[in-house]
Order: sequence, then C-alpha cells, then structure tokens
Amino acid sequence: MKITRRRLAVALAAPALSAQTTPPQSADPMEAAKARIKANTEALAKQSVPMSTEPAFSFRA
Amino acid sequence: MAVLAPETFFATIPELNRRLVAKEFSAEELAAAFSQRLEQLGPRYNALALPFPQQARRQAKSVDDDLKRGRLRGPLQGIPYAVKDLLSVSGQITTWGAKPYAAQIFEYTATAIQKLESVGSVLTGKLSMVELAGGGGYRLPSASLFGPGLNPWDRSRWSGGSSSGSASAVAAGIVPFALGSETSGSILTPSSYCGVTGLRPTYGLVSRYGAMALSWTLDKIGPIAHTAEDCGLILQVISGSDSKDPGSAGKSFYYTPQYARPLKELRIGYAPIDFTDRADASARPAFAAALAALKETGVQLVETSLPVFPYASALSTILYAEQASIFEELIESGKVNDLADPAQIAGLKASSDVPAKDYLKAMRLRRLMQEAFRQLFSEVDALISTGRPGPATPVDQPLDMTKNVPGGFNGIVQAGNLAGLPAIAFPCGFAENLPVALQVVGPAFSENTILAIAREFQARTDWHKRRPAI
Repeated sequence: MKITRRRLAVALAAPALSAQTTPPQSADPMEAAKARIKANTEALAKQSVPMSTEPAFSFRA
Repeated sequence: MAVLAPETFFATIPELNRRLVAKEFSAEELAAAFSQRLEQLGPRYNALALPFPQQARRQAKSVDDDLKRGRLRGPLQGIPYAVKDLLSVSGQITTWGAKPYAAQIFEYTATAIQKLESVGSVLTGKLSMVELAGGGGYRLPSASLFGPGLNPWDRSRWSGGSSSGSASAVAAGIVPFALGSETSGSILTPSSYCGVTGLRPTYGLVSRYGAMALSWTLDKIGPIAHTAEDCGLILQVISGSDSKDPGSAGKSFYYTPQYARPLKELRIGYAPIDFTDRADASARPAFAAALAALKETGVQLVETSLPVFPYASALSTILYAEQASIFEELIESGKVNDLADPAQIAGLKASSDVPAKDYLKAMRLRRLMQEAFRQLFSEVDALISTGRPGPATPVDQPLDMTKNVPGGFNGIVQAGNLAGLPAIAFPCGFAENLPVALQVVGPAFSENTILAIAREFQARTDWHKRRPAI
C-alpha cells in the first residue's frame, strides 16, 4: 500500500498531542489500568486513518 | 589464578581481546575472575539471576585451546558476558524475573547466545530484570523476583528497567558486556541511569528466538556495554537472519566505522526544550555541555519536531493486546497474582479488555508513523534527545511520580519503538552525582550512523570512562 503525502498530511492533522498526557491515576490498580485502556481508546478514536492503510503486520501464504 | 588489575574489569572489548591474544592472561583466568565478581558483587545490586561458573570455565578452556592453535574468531573471542534472564539457555532456569516462572527450564538456547558462543564469547550467567519485562505497567522498581535493581552509582537509586541487571552489571564491572531487551525503553532507560552505552537495534535485526515474548511486533534484543564501539562489535555478531524468528528482517549488520559519513555532513534534528524545560533542573548544565561537545564534532544540529501521533496510547494498546494473548494462561490460571507488583497484576488482567478494533487502529497508525518518520529522515540523518530527562530516581519512588513534560520530543521512546527504529543511549555527564545520557535515534538499519555519532562523542569526552566506587 502506498501512502501519499496528501493522505499522510490529512491523517496527521488530527489532534494528538493531548493524547500524550497520562490519565488521572486511580488508587485502585485495576481501575487505573481500565482507565488507561479507556483513555487509549479515546485517543485512538480521534485519529483518522485512510481506509487503504493496512495494519503493520504481514501474513505470507 | 592470575590476579587481574581492577581496571581490567572496566576494559573495553578490543582491549580485553588484545590482552588475551597477547597472553597477558588466559580466557580461563578472565572467565574465573569475572565469574567470581558476578557472584560476589551481583547480589549487591540485585543484578544476579543465575551464575554459570563451571560452564564459563569450560567455554573459556576451549577458547584457550583455540588461541593456542591460532584459531582467532574476532574481537569477542574469550570475552565474558551475561544476559538478561528472559533469554533461554538450554537446561538452565529462565525466570523472566517473575515468581510464576521461577522454576522454568527450556531445552533450547536463544539464537543470540548461540551466535556469541560461536565466536568464543564466554557466558558467565544471567542477569535480573523487571518481572515479565514490565509489560503490565509496573508502578514500583521492586517489581522483580530479584528485588529492585540497585544503581551502582548510588544504591538508593534505581538501576532502571526492565534490563536492570544488564545495565548495572556492566556499570559495576561485573561483565564487560550484557544483552538486554527493549519493547519500550528497556535498554535505553537502564543504560542512561547506570552510565553505560546501550543499543536498541532496528526491529528484526537481531533474532528473538529463545527470548520471552512480551510483544511480537515490538520486542528487540540489544547490547549494553562500555562504549559505542563495543556495541557495534557485539551487534555484528548477534544480528542476522533467523528462520526461527518470524519477525526476522533477514538482514545482517557489519560494523564499519571506517566507512561512516563525516560527521560534518550529518544533520541531527533536536528540540531545544528537551534539554531545558523538559529536563530535570539538576541535569540541564550537563545536557548543555553535552550539546556543546556534540556541536564540536561538526554535526549540524537543526531544530525539528516529531510527527504528531498518540504514541503512548498506540504503544500501550499494542503491548496490552499482544501480552494478553501471550500471557493468557498466566492470567486465566490466576498465577498472575503471584507477581510482585499490584499494578503489573492489574495491567495484565485488564489487558484482555483491549478492543480488537483499537489494536488494529494502532497497528494501522504504525504504517503512518513509519511513513512520517521516513519523510522526517529525508530532512535529517538522526534525532537526538536526552536518554532520560534526569538521573536515576530513588529506588522507593513510584514510577508514576516521574514528571512527563509535554512538547519537544516527548514520546520519542514510544515513537522509535513503534516505528522499529534503532537508538543508542550513552553517558554525557552527571547530575546529583549520577550519570545522565543522550539518546540518538536513526532511520531503520542506520546503526552505523548512530554508532558513529556516539563513538565520536566518546572520542572527545570521558563520561563513558567514569566508574562508580564499588
């Protein structure tokens, strides 16, 4: 799959810097771990990925 | 047995090899001295997992026979070393630093160790690590079967993780070099904290066969040593194609400093804020001096910024999803509760909750990240930042208390690992009487370039020659 500069520019335009911040820590380790996963989901949801972009692993027959 | 001078324990690989070939001491004497040091000093830093004194002596005798017959196998011949306890040695215990695996034995030896054996390096033992390489998200340095990694420069400070024993053992002159592994910072962090040189190779350059899997798409094996040159010599041996590792890139590495581009032709991207506002106040003078020393090598430092992506979230998602599958049996059986760190236990259990679509989204983002870094590396030859923002943290300080200042190259460790890029950390000064380090990241398979930058820096400074009081 070829990623054009235009597609890359569109994808990079999505807000992402705020996603680098750590979510507030809970005293309960399980709650903290689940909060981290939820924060990750939200950060990833903000990202636009061109439909033609395949995941970064490959399967060879 | 010959008594070795104290400086021998801190000698570089070429120095030791030269003295072996010159018969100043035998390989057996060298192995015996380092084995004794591993058993005596290793526990002082919680660095020792398992010593192999008899096996080391046998290997060393064989090296002496080869040397007598003039069978020279390169600069690593006869050099003692040890490995992070996530690499298997046939018939020996491999704990992965975790209580549930305290009696685990494999019947095969890791490819990287086999390669070192083939050139006559002498394995003296296994070194401690953070349990399961910390993938669950540990909160305390004590998250290890062996106790918290203690820093040879100050035992009240952490040695860093997860390759804790590998870095502290090199720093304390317990081994001339060690193998560590990195999924996200596990070579760079302990190398920075302990004042040694650590190389994270390009993803796929070194076989991971025989290594604990934490994340199939992120794990790398790499060397930790006294100098960049040592790292280059080790990488040349342990790299290469391996059909037993599905992630193998099918490439070899040849350490060729003689063909390195002149440093004055190199453009190195950096973010000044990394060395000021994002650095600990105590470390800023050392970083400023290090940047000045780097400029004197002739490299052009140019301000740049990282491509904008949610690196931490993408890495955490991929790591969680892959480890949930890798450690499914540990988690489902409840043995996960035997781990030392409550945050690690919770993280492993919760990792099963990562939605498949998030994992795939993160893996698709990696394609965009790779392309963005390819474009960035058409403008600069390498990137430089701090190894860590400051010196080693207190050994009893929770890791989530470490400040994370946004901006600059924040996220470069996760970014470099997600894009599979090589990086090297090397000491560049001191703060609070503890070492601090620089980190240079390059394009995939550019190890010779980043090694050349670190090598030139080390030719002009002596931070890598400083030794802790043992």
